[in-house]
Amino acid sequence: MRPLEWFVIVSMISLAIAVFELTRRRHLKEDYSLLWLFACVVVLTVTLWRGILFYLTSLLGVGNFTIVPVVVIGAILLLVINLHFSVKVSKQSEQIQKLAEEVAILKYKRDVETTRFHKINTEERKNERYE
Amino acid sequence: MKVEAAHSRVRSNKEGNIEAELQKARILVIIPAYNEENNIQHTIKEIKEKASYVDILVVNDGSTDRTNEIAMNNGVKVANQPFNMGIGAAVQTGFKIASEEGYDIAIQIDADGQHNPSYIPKLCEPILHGDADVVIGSRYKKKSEYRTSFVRLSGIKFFSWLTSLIIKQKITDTTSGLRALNKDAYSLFSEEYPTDFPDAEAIILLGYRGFRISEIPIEMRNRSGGISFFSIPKLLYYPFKNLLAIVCTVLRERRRQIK
Repeated sequence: MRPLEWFVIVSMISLAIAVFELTRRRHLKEDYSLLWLFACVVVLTVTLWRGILFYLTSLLGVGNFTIVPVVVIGAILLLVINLHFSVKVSKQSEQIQKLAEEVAILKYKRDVETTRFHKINTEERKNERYE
Repeated sequence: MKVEAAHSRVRSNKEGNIEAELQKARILVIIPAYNEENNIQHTIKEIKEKASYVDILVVNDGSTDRTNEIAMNNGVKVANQPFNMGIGAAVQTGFKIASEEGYDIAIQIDADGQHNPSYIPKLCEPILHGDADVVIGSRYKKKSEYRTSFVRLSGIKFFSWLTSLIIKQKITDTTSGLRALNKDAYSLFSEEYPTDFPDAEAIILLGYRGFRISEIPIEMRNRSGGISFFSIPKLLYYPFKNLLAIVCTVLRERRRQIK
């Protein structure tokens, strides 16, 4: 195997471990981590299973490989940025849920108070009438 | 003859007691509802008929139909979530309200009328007697008439088996939507609760935190209105997500215990 392949394999495995650890620490929601783990599996499969890679190369007609390092660097950057966003999105969706629950509870309390107020009001009016 | 008579007297006495205890206890039935305008009225009426001693709270999970209006007209408590967030969030809102209003027991029940409210006393009994903290209505504890697809059934069986293995207690139905929880248990869930599929993971969490879980056998009716099915993407996604969530919960709780 060539160095690039080793590099891809090692980085994908460490990515999977990182994703798992983030999930365990609740920095990443399971939904997103599943996507990330799926991506790792796809990249690993393509790397280890050379036939499919050769097929894709011939399909695209890419004979010249000098572009590869550029693509690799770009991919790593995107990867890190994306993982960062996944973590952010996880945190925010949790915060949004908390807020929405809070809103529901506050509205509920307001309704309860309003009905109680109305009840007291009507009862007072009734009493006044009797007096 | 004498013994039998004594027996039946004891039993009726016990039943009388449970009836009185149910009247005394403060029980909140939480109905998470998303676009259930066709079923919600019937469900509420049935609960009122068969369990007049409970308070009912409908948590409307951002429905786009008349669920809210119908629930309001039926004289029950209604909490409206601003948008749809999944059943887990709806139930959690219910637990939070139960906690603020100081209920002794919170019961979760489906809005579509698949659960028979006459199980409510049986669900509450172990909690009122202090024998359990959480009571689950299980479709598979006894041979049940309830039919579901093979794939779904094997999923339920697998996750129940895994849950039983982890918490070292036989659990037969982790996906049941009919549960009763005492104050301590629902207070935990008002803090930590999974959003979209509150299943095996939640039960494992309860197990690790030392809550006593018990199951009662229930018969579940087949759906009257609408169809419930698992779409293909969900079918591929759900088991893996659930598995990942379980592994993470176990690791988190283990670490917590060491600390």
